[in-house]
Amino acid sequence: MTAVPGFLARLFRLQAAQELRYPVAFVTNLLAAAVFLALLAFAGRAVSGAHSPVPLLLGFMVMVSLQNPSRIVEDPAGAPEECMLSRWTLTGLMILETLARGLWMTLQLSLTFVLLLLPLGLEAQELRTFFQWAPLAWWVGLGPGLMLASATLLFKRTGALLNLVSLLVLGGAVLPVGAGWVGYVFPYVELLALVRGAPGSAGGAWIAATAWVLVGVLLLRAAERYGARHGLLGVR
Amino acid sequence: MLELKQVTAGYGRNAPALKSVSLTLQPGNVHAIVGANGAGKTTLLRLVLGLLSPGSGQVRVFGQDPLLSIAQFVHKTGILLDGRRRLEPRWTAEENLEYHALRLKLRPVAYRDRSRGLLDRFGLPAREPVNRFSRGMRQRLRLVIALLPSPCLVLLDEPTLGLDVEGQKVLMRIIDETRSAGGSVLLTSQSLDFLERVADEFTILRKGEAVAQGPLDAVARAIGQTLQVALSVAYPERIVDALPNEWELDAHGRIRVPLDPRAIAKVMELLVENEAGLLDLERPSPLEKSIGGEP
Repeated sequence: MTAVPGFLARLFRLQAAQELRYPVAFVTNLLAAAVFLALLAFAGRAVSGAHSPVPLLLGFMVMVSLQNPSRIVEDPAGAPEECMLSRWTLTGLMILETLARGLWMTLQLSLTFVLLLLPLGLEAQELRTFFQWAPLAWWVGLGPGLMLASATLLFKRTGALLNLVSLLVLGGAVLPVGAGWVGYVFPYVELLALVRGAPGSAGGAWIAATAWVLVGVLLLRAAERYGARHGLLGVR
Repeated sequence: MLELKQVTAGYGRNAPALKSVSLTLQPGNVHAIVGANGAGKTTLLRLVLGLLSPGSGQVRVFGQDPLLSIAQFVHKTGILLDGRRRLEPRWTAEENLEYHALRLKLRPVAYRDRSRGLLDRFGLPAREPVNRFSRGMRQRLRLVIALLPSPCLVLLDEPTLGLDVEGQKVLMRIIDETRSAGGSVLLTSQSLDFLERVADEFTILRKGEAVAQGPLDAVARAIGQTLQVALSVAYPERIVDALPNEWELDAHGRIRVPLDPRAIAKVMELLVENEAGLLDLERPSPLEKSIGGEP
């Protein structure tokens, strides 16, 4: 376990090096994300009257941790094999890489938020709300992310499915979604309710998200075994 | 170090890609797998790495089943699978190496000197982003990554893909060093010349079956070939009548004689006597026909 923080720190540094090596692309991506989120926030206001872009930022966070495991498996440069030919388990490597990406996204989304302060008339207080819920958002996305990765491992080319799920995630962030019993099954719904100040249980959301992660881990391990038996591991 | 016993394996409902193949790799041994595309070379390596489970037979690497224990020996195994390797184009060579060292849990003190040494040997810049590398440089970097863990077992699938002559020479020296240090190498390549230079033993795969195994001359005999020398003659018509029947003269004016000093001396004598001229002299690979599928 002692290797985990070191691995994470170095992965984060590599992630930063990769992004900052091309500053124009980095700044443009920030601006594009800000414009996209602003448009979604305005649309959300028109539909639901919600004012805060924080659910959207968290939706983005969920999306990243949802997509990242599949992106690792689908890398055309032989990444699935490499992930398995590792001293980490495939699941461990996916969680750590997704966490490093999530940490970087937190930083990036914070900067995006700063860019949105003026045009949307936001208060700095809301940034604190974002930081408060970002870890849960990351954890909420990871379970379905691992499940989707197991599908990607066996069926390949699941990009369209990922986009569809991501669309639902972002849609949920701008639409008035209720919690209730649905929140116990889909922790993302509970998370949105909590962020919007509706009654909900943060503990319940963490427990439900953990259950999704556990199911994701089990599915991924089963997919690995099935893939090895049927020669499906690898890019095909 | 590595043993396959009567292994049959395949993908889904398709016909098995490997049929009852056995192979043993001893320490200090370099073994080449030779075969046409689709002969089962990569499948064999995937079995060894536990990425595919055998339908029947047994695979053992360091005495263990790779399907269950790959993580235990991956840090002492150099792996290049299918000529590919995950390279992040926006990272430098050094950063890519750092990622793979993390993946293998190599200690920084252990891998940093080695990675610098390998980058130097392959003539690669450490601090340049990989997206500025040519195809050959990327292949060199993939090899550096494969060799990063100071492996005692090296598994290389198509390592010569896109590699220039200089790169091949460096790789040959590293393979020699691995052998001298008691390590073992299992490799595939479409470059038969390269394989003949580095390998001690060969397995010829044809449609998933091992049709011959052993040192080059034994393999050549098993597939009905002998080691020969081919001489390209400027005026073949001047010696055509003087040639013994057992020597071939092909349509391109090349005479093939057995790789035997007496036979070579005799043909040279004929060339001089008849002023037939000599344009080129080479030793065609006896493995060529095995790839072509001819007996």
